[in-house]
Amino acid sequence: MVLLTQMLYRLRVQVIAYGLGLALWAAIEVFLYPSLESSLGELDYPEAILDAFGIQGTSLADPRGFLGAEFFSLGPLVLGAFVVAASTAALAGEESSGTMEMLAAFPVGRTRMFIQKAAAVLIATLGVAAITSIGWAVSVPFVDMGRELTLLDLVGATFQQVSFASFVIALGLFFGAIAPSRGTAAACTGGVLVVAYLLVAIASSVDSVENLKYASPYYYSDLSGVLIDGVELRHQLVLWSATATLGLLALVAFEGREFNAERWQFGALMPRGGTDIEMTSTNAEPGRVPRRSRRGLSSGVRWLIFLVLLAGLAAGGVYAYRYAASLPPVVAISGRVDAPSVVILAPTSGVVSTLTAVEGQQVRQGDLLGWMENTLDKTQVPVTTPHSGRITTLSLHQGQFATAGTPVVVIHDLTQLHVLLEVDEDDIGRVAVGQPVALSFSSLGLRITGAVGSVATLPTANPAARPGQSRKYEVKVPLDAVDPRVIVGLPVDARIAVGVARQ
Amino acid sequence: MVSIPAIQTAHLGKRYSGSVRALADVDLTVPAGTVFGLLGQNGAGKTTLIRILLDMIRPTEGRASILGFDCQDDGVEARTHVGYLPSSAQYYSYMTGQDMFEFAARTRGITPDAALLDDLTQRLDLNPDRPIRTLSRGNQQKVGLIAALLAQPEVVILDEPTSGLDPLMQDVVLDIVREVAAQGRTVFFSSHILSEVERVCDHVAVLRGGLLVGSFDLAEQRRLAARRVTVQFAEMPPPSAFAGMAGSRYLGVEDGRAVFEVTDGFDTLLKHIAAFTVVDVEAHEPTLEDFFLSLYTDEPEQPVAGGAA
Repeated sequence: MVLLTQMLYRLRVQVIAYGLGLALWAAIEVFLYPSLESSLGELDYPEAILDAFGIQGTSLADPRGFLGAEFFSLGPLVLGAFVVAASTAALAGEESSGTMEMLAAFPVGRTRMFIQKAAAVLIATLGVAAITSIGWAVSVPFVDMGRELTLLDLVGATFQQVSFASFVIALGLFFGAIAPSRGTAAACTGGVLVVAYLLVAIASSVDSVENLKYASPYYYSDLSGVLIDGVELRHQLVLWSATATLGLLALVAFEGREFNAERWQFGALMPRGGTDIEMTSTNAEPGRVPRRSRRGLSSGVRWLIFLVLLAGLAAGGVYAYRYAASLPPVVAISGRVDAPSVVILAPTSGVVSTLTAVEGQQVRQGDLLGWMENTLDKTQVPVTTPHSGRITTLSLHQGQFATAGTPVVVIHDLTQLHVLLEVDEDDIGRVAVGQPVALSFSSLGLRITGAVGSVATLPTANPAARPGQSRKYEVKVPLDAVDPRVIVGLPVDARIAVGVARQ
Repeated sequence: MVSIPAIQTAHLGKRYSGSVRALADVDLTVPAGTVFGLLGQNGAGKTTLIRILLDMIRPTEGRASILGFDCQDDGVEARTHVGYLPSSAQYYSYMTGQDMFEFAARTRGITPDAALLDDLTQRLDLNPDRPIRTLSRGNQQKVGLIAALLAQPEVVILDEPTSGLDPLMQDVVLDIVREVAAQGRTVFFSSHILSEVERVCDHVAVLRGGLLVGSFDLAEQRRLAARRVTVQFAEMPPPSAFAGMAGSRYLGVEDGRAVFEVTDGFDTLLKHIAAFTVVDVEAHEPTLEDFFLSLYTDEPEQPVAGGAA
């Protein structure tokens, strides 16, 4: 614990400085919000900027969107700067400043040194998050942020950053263990961070390279959208796995590192044969048992480490594939009730002479809805329905003029009511006909079950879609023996059990 | 009882980047309870050897052990018995000397021995309450030295311990070194200063271009070595006057002085020459310089960098 407490003591000034800086920033943003709220609603930010900040499906006038863009998109990078500095100072910095020469002579093993230093940096990062939270605590209670956003949400989101920061710590320790100097290690760590951030920014604004985002650890942090969507456990698992793998690699590299050698050191990460020369054992003493190699630099152990890492990477790959292919077992999505509809067009240009239909009326195929009188030849033309159903829209009125071909009546076939879901392209591959669906009409307090009836093979045409916005596919869930309160347009929350084998 | 060597190396070698040889085939045995000097020019491999002993770098060939513990495989165990003064020590700038002593002690799970600390700080004339960053180079050296000695380790490794100290303090340090050895502990120190090595060391090994080119048992030498005594007489006696002296031998005349080799007969010699008028007597011990220079007057394997720091 000596090295841990000593490292924490050395970081104290940076922790307080970064913490207070972020707290001040947080508080200022909160206090600014009310004065900007009204104008922000009208502000038309370029879409690319919103995308780059990960702000989708909300506006800057929403406090969550506002703080997401103003604080949580860049805040993690500021925290990242602290973490890069601290994690490279922890081990590489000791070398570059010359203090490792004194530290490494103490009877403290490399693993212990590594763990204590890493723990110190992690605790320091939690300290920065804690001090940052003071900024929320002194501002949020005095500002109306709406019901969606509580102090606890903001503190939670602030601490959520530590999971991404842990990845950066592992990265900093890793580069610190292989790079020639602290400066190089910090530059590499910072470089990776910037690339990770840019990958997500580019992927979200350029459609053709959208999948690039999966290569970025920043994507799995869920940080920019944390206030609106929360975080996904799957993403966190990916991040934690990467952190653990990098941390292990860093430890192995640090175990094999030669201090102040001023060159790149990959040796410990490579399997290679050892040239072990046995010490002439004239120095055996009774009572002192010759010790077995504890660090194990023998080629056997090196191979073992290499294979374990390889197995870990392979397992990670398999997991990632399974995750992409079949997990998680449920896709949750909101939709609305819909029914097949038919739009009846005015059969001729003229005035409505007789109107028998009324809105809401149940009609059968072939039923007469009214008559129109042709303006030119004054002939009476009947308006009939080609389908059975309920009249949901009636824009015909007695004596009104209508041009041939304009929509005048909409009839929904309520015997074929279904729930219409627009499933994201990321999930659509796992949705199949026959999969069970749980439907919840929260406005009615009604929960029913159903099954996927059809899955669209083409995305919905959405002319308003922005580049980078994901495409949607229509999925229909038929509603049988339905409650009469379930009407067209009613919102519904659906959960599709996509883990069930397709039929 | 066969005692374990304090430090032992076998075929120890170190190459950097495959080609640069820093150390090759070094077989060294440092007996426990001795003061062992490691002599060599800058770049001869002294610090490389010491840093392998402390597991800061790894040998490319051979092995090294401290008190029987492998310096690499059992490095932690080996270092629990070692106090170390780096050649160019750097310390945390925020610490005072006292902080540093406590920090070093805590890594061993002990607290500094107050009496020993008082004694060392007084003799070395160090104020332990001053921040290390405000101390001169020499005083920082003292902090490192005290930190290395404070846990009373069985093996003390000092890399150029007197560099940066004034001559008075150098004497104090060398006194302390002898005291440590007198307690049965071992001091292994590197130096390029012949006089200090000669003064305190029982053994000396000489490194040159990464190779161990010679070793020298100074204690043995002191006991057995013949001394040269030159005498200036008012009037040179005939050589026959010095025939048949027990324990010493007349060698001839050099620069107007009679030269004798004395192995075990100072008394006989003095009584012999007292019969004549003696103007001046000088006794010479065969010096480490002679030995050291002889190693360098052979054709050098590689150019020796001139100028010791």
